[in-house]
Formats: sequence, C-alpha cells, structure tokens
Amino acid sequence: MNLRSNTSRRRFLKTSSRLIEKSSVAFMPPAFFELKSKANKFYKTVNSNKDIQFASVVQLAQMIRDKKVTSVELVEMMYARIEQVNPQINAVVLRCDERAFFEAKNADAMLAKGKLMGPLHGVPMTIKDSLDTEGIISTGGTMGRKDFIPSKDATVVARLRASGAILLGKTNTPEFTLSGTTANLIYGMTSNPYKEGYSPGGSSGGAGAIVAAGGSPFDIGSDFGGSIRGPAHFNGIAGIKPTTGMVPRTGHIVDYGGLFDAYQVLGPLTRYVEDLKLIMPIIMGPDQIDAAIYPVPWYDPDTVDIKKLRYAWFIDHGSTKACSPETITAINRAIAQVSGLGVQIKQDAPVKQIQKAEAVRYELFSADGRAWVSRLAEKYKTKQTHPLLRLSNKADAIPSKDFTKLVEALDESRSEMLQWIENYDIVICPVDFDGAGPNPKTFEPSTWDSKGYGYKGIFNLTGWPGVVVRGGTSKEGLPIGIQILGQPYQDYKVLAVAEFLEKELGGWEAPPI
Amino acid sequence: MNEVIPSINKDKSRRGFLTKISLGVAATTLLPVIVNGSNKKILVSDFSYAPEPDDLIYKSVVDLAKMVKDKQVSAVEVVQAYINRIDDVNGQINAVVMDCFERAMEEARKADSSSPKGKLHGVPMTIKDSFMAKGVVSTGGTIGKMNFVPNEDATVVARLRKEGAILLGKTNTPEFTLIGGVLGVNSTNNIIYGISKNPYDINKTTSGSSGGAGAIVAAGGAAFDVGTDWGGSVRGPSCTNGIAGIKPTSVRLPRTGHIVDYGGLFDSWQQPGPMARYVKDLDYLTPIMAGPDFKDAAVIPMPWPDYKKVDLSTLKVAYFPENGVASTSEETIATVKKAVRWLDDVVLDVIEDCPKELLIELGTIRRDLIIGDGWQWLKRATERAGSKTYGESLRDRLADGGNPISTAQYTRLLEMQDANRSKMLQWFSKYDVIICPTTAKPAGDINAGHNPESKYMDNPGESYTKPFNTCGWPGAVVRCGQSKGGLPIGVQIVAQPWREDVALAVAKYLESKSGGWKPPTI
Repeated sequence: MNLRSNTSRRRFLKTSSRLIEKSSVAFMPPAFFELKSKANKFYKTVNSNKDIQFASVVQLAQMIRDKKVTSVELVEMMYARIEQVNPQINAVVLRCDERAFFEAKNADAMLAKGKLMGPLHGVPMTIKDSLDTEGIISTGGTMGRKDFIPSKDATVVARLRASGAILLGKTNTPEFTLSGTTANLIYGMTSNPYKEGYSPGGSSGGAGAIVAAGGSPFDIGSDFGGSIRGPAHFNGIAGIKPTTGMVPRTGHIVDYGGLFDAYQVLGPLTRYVEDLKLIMPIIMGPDQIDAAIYPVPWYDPDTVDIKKLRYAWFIDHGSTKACSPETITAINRAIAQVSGLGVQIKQDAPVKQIQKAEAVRYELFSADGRAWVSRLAEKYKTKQTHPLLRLSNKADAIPSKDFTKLVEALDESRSEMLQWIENYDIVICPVDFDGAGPNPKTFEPSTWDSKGYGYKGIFNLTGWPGVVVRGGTSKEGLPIGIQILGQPYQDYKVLAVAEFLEKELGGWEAPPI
Repeated sequence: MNEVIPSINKDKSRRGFLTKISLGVAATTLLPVIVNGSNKKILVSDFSYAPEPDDLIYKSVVDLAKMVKDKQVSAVEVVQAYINRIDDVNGQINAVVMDCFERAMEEARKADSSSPKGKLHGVPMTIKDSFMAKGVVSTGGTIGKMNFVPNEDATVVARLRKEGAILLGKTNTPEFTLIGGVLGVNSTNNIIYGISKNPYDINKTTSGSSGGAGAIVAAGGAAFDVGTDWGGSVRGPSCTNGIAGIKPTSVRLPRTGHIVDYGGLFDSWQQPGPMARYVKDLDYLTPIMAGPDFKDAAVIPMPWPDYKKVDLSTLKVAYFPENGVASTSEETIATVKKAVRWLDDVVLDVIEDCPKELLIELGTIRRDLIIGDGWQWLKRATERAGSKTYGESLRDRLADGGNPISTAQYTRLLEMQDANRSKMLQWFSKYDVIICPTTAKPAGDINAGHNPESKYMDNPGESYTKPFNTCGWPGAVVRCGQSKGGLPIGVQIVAQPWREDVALAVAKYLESKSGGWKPPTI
C-alpha cells in the first residue's frame, strides 16, 4: 500500500500544462471507440485541377509524398502568390517566413529519410488571427493583443502542425471575431479577391479571401454566428461549421465557456470539399481543456449512399428579407441535382420554430447588457475598441428572473428545431440573401432586428453541421454559396452531399486577381 | 502521460507493482510477462463473484432476462414474485407509491404467450415517480400533478418497455426531485405520499431523491428502477440503500418526460441513471436508454464502451476519503480506504489527491447559479405543474426569495462555471478514476427534522456528488461496507467523461471484493 498525499493544486495545474506542452499525443482524441473508418484516412483526390497553385490539400500532400514537389517549393509558391494578391485584398496580416522555410526544409529532409509527420506533411496553411499560434503574434483583432506572442498553439493549430502542416501566417479577423465585416484597428480591412473593394464577409474574411485566391491551401476559421459559412460563401470556397462539441476552442480569442458556449465552433475553410474530409478528423476530439468537446466517432463520408438520404430545401424561412434571383437560381440548381439522383426533395421550412428561436437568440445577445463583450475587452486589456464592435449598454439588460426563463426558451427552441429535422438527413438552403456587396465606407456596429434574420445564426443555436460550397454567381459577378445542413453529429453525411453538389455545380472557381 | 509523473512516483508505483507481484496477485502469470517487457491485462472476468441467491426477487436483471427467455421461469411467475414482495415490504418502507399490478400481470401473460420481445422480456421494474408513465399516475411529488395520468411514457421508460420490461409501479420522490418536504434530499418525502424508509432500518431515511427506487430495489421489490441525478439523486440512494447505481455522463440519456426535463440554466447537470442490485445490470440497462430521441436536444449519439474489456492494471486512481467540505463519518472514511486498498492490489497507481479548492469554487458557483434569480425557475416549475400548495421546504424557499443577482452577474457565473469545468478536467487528466465517498454519512434518522443547512441547496453533505453533475462525469456507486448499525455504505467511482466502462469495471471489481448488495432484514 503506497497511498500518497498530494493536494497542491498549483503543482497539478503545472504538471497538466507540462503534459500538454510536452506531448502532442495528449491532444489526440481518446482512441477507445473503434471508428468505422480510420480517423486519418488519406483521401484519394477527385480534383482534376492541373494548376499546383490551386491544387487541393489532398493533391498537395500526395505530391509531396510522391516527391513531385518539395515543401520548400510550395511555401515559396504560396508566399509569391500572397505577395501578388495581398496588396489588394489585405488577407494575410502577419507572416512567419523564416520559420515556415525552416520547417519546410525539415519536412523535406525528413521525407528524404522516409519519415512522415502525418497526413499534412509539408503542406502550407494560414490560420485566422483569432487563434493562438506559438511564437507568432496573435491579436484576435483587438488592440490589447496587438503585440501578443502566445507561448502555446491553440489546440487545433497544434494538431495540424503535429500532422505536418506548416504555418505561413495569420489571416485577418474583426475584433473578437464579432462582426461580418473583416476589419480591425491593427490591420485594417480585408477585401474580396473576386472584385476590388468588395467584402470577403466575416469574421473569417482573411481566411476566405486568401484561400480563394490560392495564397493558402487551407485555413481554420471560427463560426459563432456564420463566421466560417459567410466567408466561404462570399469567397466561393468550401467551409464546414461542424456540429457543436466536436472541435476544441482552446486558444481561440473567444474560447470555451459562458452563455454562448454552444454557438462557437471551429472548422476548416478550403477550396475543395475533399480537403474538409481530410482535415476534420485531424482537428476534432477532446483536449482535456475545453470541457464541452465529446469524443464522438468520425464516420467516413465516402461510405454514405446519398441516394438513401431524406432531403428538404427552403428559401423562404420567414425572414422579412428576400433572396436575390441569383441566390434562388443557385438553390434551384442544387435541388435539380438532388432530384436527378432519383430521390425526393421536399420543400419544407420550420418557419414558426425559426421565428421563435430567432427572437430568443436576439434577446439573449443583449440580455446582460452585453456585459460579456465588456468582459472580453477587460480580459484582453483593450482600451480602444473598433467601431464595428457592439459595446455594452446596461440599459439593455433584463432582470435575472427573465433571464433564466429566456435560457429555458432557448433550449425549448433547440428541441422544437430538432423535432423538425428528425424527418430529414439533409437540408439545403441559402447561406445569405445575395453575393458580396462593397466593403463599408464607414463603420457601424452590426445591428439586426429579430425579424430580418439570415440563414446562419439559427444553426449556431441548433448546433447542426453546415457545409458551404459554391453554387452560383451574383449579378455583380461574385460567388454565391449554398448551405447544406444535417442532423447533429451527422457531419459525414453533409460532407458526402456537399462533395456531390460541388462536383455537379462546379464549386470553387479561380478569381480574376 | 508517464513523463509528467515525478520520478519518485514512478519508482514508487514500480515498487508498488512489484510488491503486488510478491504478494502473489497472479504472480505466476505476471512475472514472466514483465521480463518480456509487456504486461498481462487484468479484467473483471479474472475475479470470482458470489453466486446470486436462488430467490427470484434477488436475481440480477441479466439473469432474470435470460431465465425468462430460456423459459426456465415464466414472466407471470417473475412478476407475481415481485408483486408479492412489494405487498410484503411496502407497508414498512413506503417506497412504491402507485402500482399498476393488474396491467403488469396482463403484460406478463402476454409476454409468456409471445416470442421474446427484447433484452428485458418479462423483467419487472419500478420507475421513479418523477418520470411520466403512460396510463399510470405520475406526480413528480408535487400536488399539481397528484392526479396526472400521462398519455405517453418518458423516453427512457418507453425504451425499457419496448425491450419488454414490465412496469410494476412508481417509486417515491421529493417534490420536483429537488426539494425534500422535510430534510432536503437527505430524505425522500412529499406531501402526497409521505416519507420512504430504509429497508435496512426503517427508522432511517433512504436519502434522495430516488429514495423510493433505492429502497424497493434493495428490498427485492423490483429488479431495477430508473432514477435521476441532478446533484446526487441516483448515487445517494444507491449508497444508503446498499445497491448499485450509475449517473452516466451528462447528455448520454434523454430527460424527455421527466418532471424537470431538458433545458434551462441547469440543463447539463441532470442525468437519468439505472439503479439495480448488481453492477453488471447497470451495463446492461444504460445503453438501452441512451441516445438521442429528437426532443432532448442536448443528448448526443455516443457508443457504449464495454467494461469487460477494461484493463484494470493500467488505471491511475485518485482517491479522497474526505473532501474537507462535509463532515464525514469514520465508517464512511474507513470504507473508502478499504476500497482503495482492494484497488491497490490491481491498478497501476493509487494517489491520495483531492482538488479541494476547485471543489469549493464549484460549490459556490453552483449555489449562486441556483439562487441567482430568486427561485423564479422553481416557481415556474410549480406553475407548469399547476401546484398551488407546496411542501414545507419549497414553501420556505419561495418565501425566502433567494438572493437575486443581475443578469450580467449571471452570465459571468456561467463563464466561471465553464472555467471551473476546464480546471477540473485538467486536474483529472492525470487520472482514470476517482474513489471517494458518495454521502458523508450512512442513512440519517427519519425524524431528524428540517435541515436548515440545505436552504440554498448547498448542503455540504452533498458535496461528494454535486461536482460530478457540474462536470458531467460518470459516477457509479457500489456497496463496500456497512455501519455498526448495519446500514449500507457505498463507495463512489468516478471516471473520465464517456468512460462508464472504466467506472463499471472498477465497481464490478469492488463488488467481487465486498460482495456488493446484501439482502435486507425485512
């Protein structure tokens, strides 16, 4: 019997963090469930793109393994493209050339000895600046973090780097990621690569713009109210907001915890759906820090028979705003493709449920007088905030007895929405009302009324998975995406349908820049 | 994980391991394997278990299901035996508060004349009265529902019945499962049905809130029951009634059809769980009830891990016989220490470690969240139920008005709760298992009176169970000892989220050592 007394909390926290720092294995999801497919399955590309600048992550990783290109060459090529496009789009706000080349050389040397770090060996990437990157300034778009150099990578970044990915630099985000316009006081505003002066959407606008422009094969964004799906839509690329509870938020500027904990998810932005399939199993799973992440099994999207799924679609979902004709055309094209499979696709929208849920979501955002926004500014010691950020206003606060009732209403809405989607495996709808418009000339805090809601935030409330692929073009020549949603934790089905629609509708197209 | 353990611990655990070898725990098979640089697994199947009594009323769920399926016994015989037992003991313990014997016998006859329907074909159960049961009065212990006859089953009840389980009746619960009429959830009491009593000493309580369930299962009046656990309501009564119980990981089982169902500020604390006499039954029952029902939106589809595959020899166990918050009885402390000694024979390491500061922080946050809206959430529960008359304890709280805070303070508390969860998880990441008391003391006196300590539901006696509702970690209970007066004492086994297999494997091993559940004297 050797019972030892050990109650020093400090020591435990210390050893815990050492554990995380020392071993990337500690980040990996517990492997106690037998996955139906190997977690890091290396997908065979279905992409026929011949231009290496615009190749998929799967293609690039394969080319590196096959020694058709070196990691150093890829890093050089990406930086050259960033040099070319960034003056116009201002997407990459910080570069780490020296380290990237050092790591690329290492990757090539390792490969020469027959060693692979992982599925992303030698593949370059950029990362949204709201995610901590070890040794590289990570601002989250807020002045208090203008010069902040993290000592640790965010969990997702650590996992990607452990899989062999090489960080090229950071991409722009609005302050705390809380805006649909990608601009901040540190780095200014980002633009759309498809049209000068147009918006890339937000908040992962830098990520969306640089991936679309071919300056980076992929990026990781965060989606609290549409921040992955919006930029994927406006920049004509692919993006996934995974089901709530799959990817740890540790190391993100707005991380785990609090009233809106379940809204916030992280996910990849890529040009091709096959890359979403590759990256998801690398970044998902508990990290023993973000307590809201579940070790749900990952199933292989390639095993899905999309003809056996139940489909619904909607355009009208009870909002006071209406979609552009081009948006309607894009959805109709998707519907036609699904119908072409010989399966039923039903027009159905949970209008009443969405209206009720949107009212709750709207009220909750200011229920505490937006004290949660003040606390963010305090936490990061930011004195001057960007005019886009909707600040606290105590007058908006409701009494706590109404607040706890509102939280009950939130969960009731979640249940009502879930009861609706029980009948469907896949729901197709717009991402937004139209393609991108011009970037704003003056900055106003985002406002919306509870009746003019869009297509994105509601699915942060429900936590359902949503994938965006390009399905059309706006009147002004900018991309229009379609949103493919599914039941919670059925991300693999959504990806399977997204890949089908991408193939049939064309997906990403090179920007004129 | 080995790197982070200071070398002194490593040496000790190595020494501890060698000591175990020299003590002769499977030494002959282990020793050569160590030389080979690998290790032999230690599984629950390596240990022997006391045979189940021949008496039908004391059989396990697993065995009863098999016996009915193999036609060694008819469903009618089984159901009749349990009904007879309820008739014999319920007058003393007041555990089953509403019966549906006629329907049960009819279902048993149907079961006998049909081919086996599922995994629980012909197995008799009772269900906590906080769950809706189709066609049977389901009160949740509150006056407004005194005559409420649901027209559908709660999800977990429907799933069990679909597998062929036969409902005998409903078991007692305090009002809304939260508020004891007299004693807080130290007892199970309400103004409709009165107080339930402990089958090992009818002058003692059953604790709560699933006290009726605990008492009747221990007494052999049901093969199993399903309780709910918001702060310890499955684990407490499992402990004080000497049976096995588990609160699964948060969001594994749907709460649809429970008097305090899904949703709201405390959503993630609430989890139903099975209560039975044998650990193996918990493994059998939980997956039947688990998984999304497309109503309770928090529930996720997670595979059920197999406890028979858990290698005990790899486990790192943290234990604390006392948490420094609750005044804990010597007998409870001794029982925990005994369980730890048993474990030390088979696991990789046992370390005394209690995250006391984190537990205190957690308890404070919990209390402040509960009272922060001046009990309005509780008031809404009474309105939904249509209750205008309340039990004494609930009346006191609504009159007291709690300590309302601003919504800004509320949202901050939610952030603090999640930060605390993360800190707890980081602390726990070095271990696989926590062993600690379930309740601070064995069952209390039936006439102990109102407990003013639990005014804000922050009774220190519940400080052993509540943290694992907040964290959402699975917690199993198995009887490991008893008080001088013969009252059962269970030990709590907590595992990492989604690792019910680990909690149940340890519980099963402890059951082999202690003998687990024992028949009561009544």
